[in-house]
Amino acid sequence: MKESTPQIQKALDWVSMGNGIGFLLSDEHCPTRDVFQARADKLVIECANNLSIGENASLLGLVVGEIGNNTFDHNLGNWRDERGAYFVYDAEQRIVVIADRGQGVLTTLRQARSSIADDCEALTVAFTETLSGRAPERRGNGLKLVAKVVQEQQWKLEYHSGRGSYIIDGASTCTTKDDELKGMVAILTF
Amino acid sequence: MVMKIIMKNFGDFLSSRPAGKEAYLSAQAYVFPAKNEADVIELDFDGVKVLTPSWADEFVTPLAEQWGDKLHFSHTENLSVKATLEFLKQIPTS
Repeated sequence: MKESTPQIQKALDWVSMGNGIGFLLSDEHCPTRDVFQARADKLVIECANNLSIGENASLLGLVVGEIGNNTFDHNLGNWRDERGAYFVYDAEQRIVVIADRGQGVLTTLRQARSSIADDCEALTVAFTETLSGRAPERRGNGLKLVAKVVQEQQWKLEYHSGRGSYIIDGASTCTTKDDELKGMVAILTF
Repeated sequence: MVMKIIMKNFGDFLSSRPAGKEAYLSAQAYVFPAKNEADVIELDFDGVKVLTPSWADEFVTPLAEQWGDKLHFSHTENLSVKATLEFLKQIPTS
């Protein structure tokens, strides 16, 4: 995992604690999709005004938008306790952290493919195949483009869910950890 | 006749599935031409700051299924617009 920053540690603490209600500050917590979207739009505007990021800010909006909206697409009405997403960014340090206390990728994708064996297989499917827990709705493409953009831009994405840690940093790898993370934590460095 | 649709009218940030679906349903009622009213339908992305595959899959994919090669795009220079439209082209439609 990327060397911990206060933003990453807070995400891990929130997802790991027994009861997540009331832990996040209001400017870290997006209880609804509308709040998340407004903050994601603000991130793009701030980064577009940063000369070193410039037009790549639109791709940042694509990646952050897909990951953050997935939180709401797949957990609406089914949160463990605190609904919504933790979403913070630092345009200067070029880091975005998104987390949720939802079902996690394995539980979500097993709705569509019960044979998925573990978290790493679920994460690999999520980033490489067209499959969605909301089948038969026509979904399941967003994270494929996320992976492509992250690779092409030479950014780094860590996506932790359950016992799986899927890392895109040039090549894509998934490792299995001892500790289970209920929900997900995504860390993008760009 | 070319029917141009100004995508910025649906927002600068075209990002989530629910928003894409709502935009499509609204446009179906008030914006899209009937097949006998236009030869070509053109989506103009001038001024759009972000387009995601989820939004586009709800709006562009059904239009592509209906209009085929008579669906055209313009002002696709924005990197997220370009990446998303190129990506959708590679996905088989139902």
